[in-house]
Amino acid sequence: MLAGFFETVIAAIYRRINRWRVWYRLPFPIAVINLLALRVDLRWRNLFDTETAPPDLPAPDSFDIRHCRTADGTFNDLSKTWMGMADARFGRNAPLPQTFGEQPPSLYEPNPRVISRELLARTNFIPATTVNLFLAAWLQFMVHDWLSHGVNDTQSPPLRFPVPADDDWPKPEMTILRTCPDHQRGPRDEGRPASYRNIVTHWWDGSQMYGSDLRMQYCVRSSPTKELLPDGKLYLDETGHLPVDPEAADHDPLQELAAVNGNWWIGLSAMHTLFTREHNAIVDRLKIDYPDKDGEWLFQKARLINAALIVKIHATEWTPALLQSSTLQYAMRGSWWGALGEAYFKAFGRSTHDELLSGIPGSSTEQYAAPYSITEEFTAVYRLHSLIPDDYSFRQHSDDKEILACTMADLFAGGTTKVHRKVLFDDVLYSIGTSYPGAPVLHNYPLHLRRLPEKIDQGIMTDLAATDIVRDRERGVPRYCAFRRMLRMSVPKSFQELTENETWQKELEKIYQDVERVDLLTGTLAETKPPGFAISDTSFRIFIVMAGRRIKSDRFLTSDYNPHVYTPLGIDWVEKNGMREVLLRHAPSLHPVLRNVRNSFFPWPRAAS
Amino acid sequence: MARRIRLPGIVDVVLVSDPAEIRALNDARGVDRNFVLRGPLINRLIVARIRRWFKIMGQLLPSLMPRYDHVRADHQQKLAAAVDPISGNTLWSNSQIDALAAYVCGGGTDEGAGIVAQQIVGSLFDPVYHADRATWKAAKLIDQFRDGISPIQIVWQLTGQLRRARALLVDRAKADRWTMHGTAIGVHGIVQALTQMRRLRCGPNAESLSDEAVLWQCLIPPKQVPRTVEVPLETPLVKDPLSVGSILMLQLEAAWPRAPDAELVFMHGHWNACPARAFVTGLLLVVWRRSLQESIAT
Repeated sequence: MLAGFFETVIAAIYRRINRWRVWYRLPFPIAVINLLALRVDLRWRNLFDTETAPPDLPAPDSFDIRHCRTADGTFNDLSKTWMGMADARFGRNAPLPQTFGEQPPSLYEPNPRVISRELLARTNFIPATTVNLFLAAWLQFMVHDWLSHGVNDTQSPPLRFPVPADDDWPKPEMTILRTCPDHQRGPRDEGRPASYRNIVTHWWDGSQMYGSDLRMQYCVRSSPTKELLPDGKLYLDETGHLPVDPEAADHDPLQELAAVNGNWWIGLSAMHTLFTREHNAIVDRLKIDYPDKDGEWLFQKARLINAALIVKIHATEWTPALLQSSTLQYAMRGSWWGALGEAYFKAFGRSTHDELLSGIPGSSTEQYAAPYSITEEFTAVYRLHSLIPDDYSFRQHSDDKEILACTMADLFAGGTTKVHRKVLFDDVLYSIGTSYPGAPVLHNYPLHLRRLPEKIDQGIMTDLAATDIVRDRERGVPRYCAFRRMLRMSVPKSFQELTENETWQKELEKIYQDVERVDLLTGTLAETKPPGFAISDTSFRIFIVMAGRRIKSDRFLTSDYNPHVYTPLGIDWVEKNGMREVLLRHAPSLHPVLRNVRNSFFPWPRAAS
Repeated sequence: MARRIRLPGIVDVVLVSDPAEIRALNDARGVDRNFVLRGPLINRLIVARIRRWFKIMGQLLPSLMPRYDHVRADHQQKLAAAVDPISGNTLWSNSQIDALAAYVCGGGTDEGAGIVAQQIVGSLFDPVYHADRATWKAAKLIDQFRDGISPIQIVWQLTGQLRRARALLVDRAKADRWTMHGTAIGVHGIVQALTQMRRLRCGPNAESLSDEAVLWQCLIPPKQVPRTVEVPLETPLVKDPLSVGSILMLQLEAAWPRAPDAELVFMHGHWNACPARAFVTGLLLVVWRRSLQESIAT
């Protein structure tokens, strides 16, 4: 488990260079190599396995594990068959000795509610004007694919801390249920930091649509009468929308059904609907070339293709929209097409299996320093709730005329279905594409998420901003300075070094006093960002290691990303399509709007009124 | 996968830094601590170095004795019981704990803490053991020598510095190899942990750390420990079969961030388990708790 000699030398050289100059201040070609060096460095020094006794799984009898993704993510890696499966433990980016969860009193210091109120709460909506709201919706769509800690722990005593006297919170103290603990710890775990399990597959396999177990997979493949669709399609109702979730009927009869449908809102609904339609379009196309294949085969192949297309869109469109620097554009697109670039790829195809030259897809599968898993630190840096606006306007794509104005509360859970009944799907997409998300900065946390209604079964109101702070502390994610230290980044010695914003410096100092105590979330939101970046350089370090790893560790995106496994049509579908093609296939009336849009995650032009 | 450095006739050393691989190879039949001159040149030099500097009265220190040496195994078992805090034996004094707690709170010097720790360890074996500045400096030199190979070590050997350091420690240990191991080598694990503890105690969250968090953030295993291959060994962890005389370097310190637990730090549950586990963890927790009652030195 060691890096190659060349990689080691390059990484060591850049470690020294970065002591006096950060990567984004270097000239373009040197910065590109710097990013590669950072990735090597992080792959070997910041991936830690937490499994101590993984299960020994018998191979399923009647399932082609070699050519199809299993529902629960098992048998992706054929030597460690449990790797990345649903219910496997979250890994870590921080060395394990640094991941013990915080205990009281520091768990509650500074008071999370005070941080929520004084540093995070949105005062005025601060838009991110270089991207559209699809960026936020896509992110949540992806996060639901990669991770979930599951239902919180209702058995253990919850976390409680006082709410300041002058606060408008309706109760004198705030109650937060603990993260569900790992119930399968054994003797080998004695003395080790707490571990947590990911209830969905860790792989980038579309599990938010296809489920992380067979029961859910059959559910989304079945009609309301519970009959499995014979042609391998996912069920959509007669209007082309997701059906309502029968299991939610008693508390929210309009909640749409999806394999993962928690925290549901209109953006997430749009993404699920779009890619469910895409799955069905792929099935239709496969049926033409493979008329003799049964529904199960069509489903499995369409799933492979659809998931790979999502990966490609994320790598080549979403990430370059989020991180708008020429270095990053080149590097992220290079992760898919390689250093030779898209034009070379389109002219000559993938000429080598070398990751650097021809991109990660089709290269060899690698796990680097630890078996693949999503990490707790990755979960932490993806806390980007500030992207969500509080107010929404739905407009007609033909003339930009407003159809409906509402707040987040109206769009949440079953409220989404009400919107679909009033607004055409194409207009929903148009409205999202022409709206801005919030900027991930201090004082921009959606107000609606800071006072979520009481859950009937738990009797607990939620301030998600305070919960975000507590979660990182509870799960042992290092605080901001320690986090940067473990990534070998420079560490601010004062609030002035943390952010250039003088008001924020004072506000942070008033609450934290010591810069070492700054939480990861507040630190990354306050941090002065690299030019063109919507996120902090601190978060970006985790992105750069995990973004490539999600592809590089997955057999179906590397060594088995080929026509034999995907079918020639499947590879062609992935390579020739992108977000724009998906949007236009399922909402063709948007063609005039999207005509001059270079990246579907950039703001779309508004139709002339 | 373990990394093998092999040049026929010159060297055959395997570096192992993955916790699971360390466990597997350490427990593999045919892997032992049998330091006899054999194999390629550099392997012989490594063995000769161990035999030259870590032998007392013709016998190697206990941590370098073979797996099936009954004297070592029996003695370690008795020692483990004797130095376990639950035995009721007096293992340290209040003033010693106060001194170490003061160090953890930011007062005193590394050297001062080292001498106190060495005195505590020495007294476990010999009630009249006497640690001082000279024995601590000598122990530090031995530890640096043991940790790896560097050109400065040639100077230490040529000037007689290393010989004198060793002689002093052997003399204070009254030529007892258990005492020698504890006061020259084992003590560094404790002092290193105290230094880490000092950093934690002066940090912002000291009062919120659980005992486990303190222990496993502070207890760092030795950099590496050697093992020898006694029978031709085929293992999936190394490309080609290992031959008799190959040396395995179990790189415990490099593996520690992946497995901060008693199994790695003390090889708990394995044939070569450190008998001082309960003693060391007990001592450190007593010092930590005492330090929490004191204020930080400014």
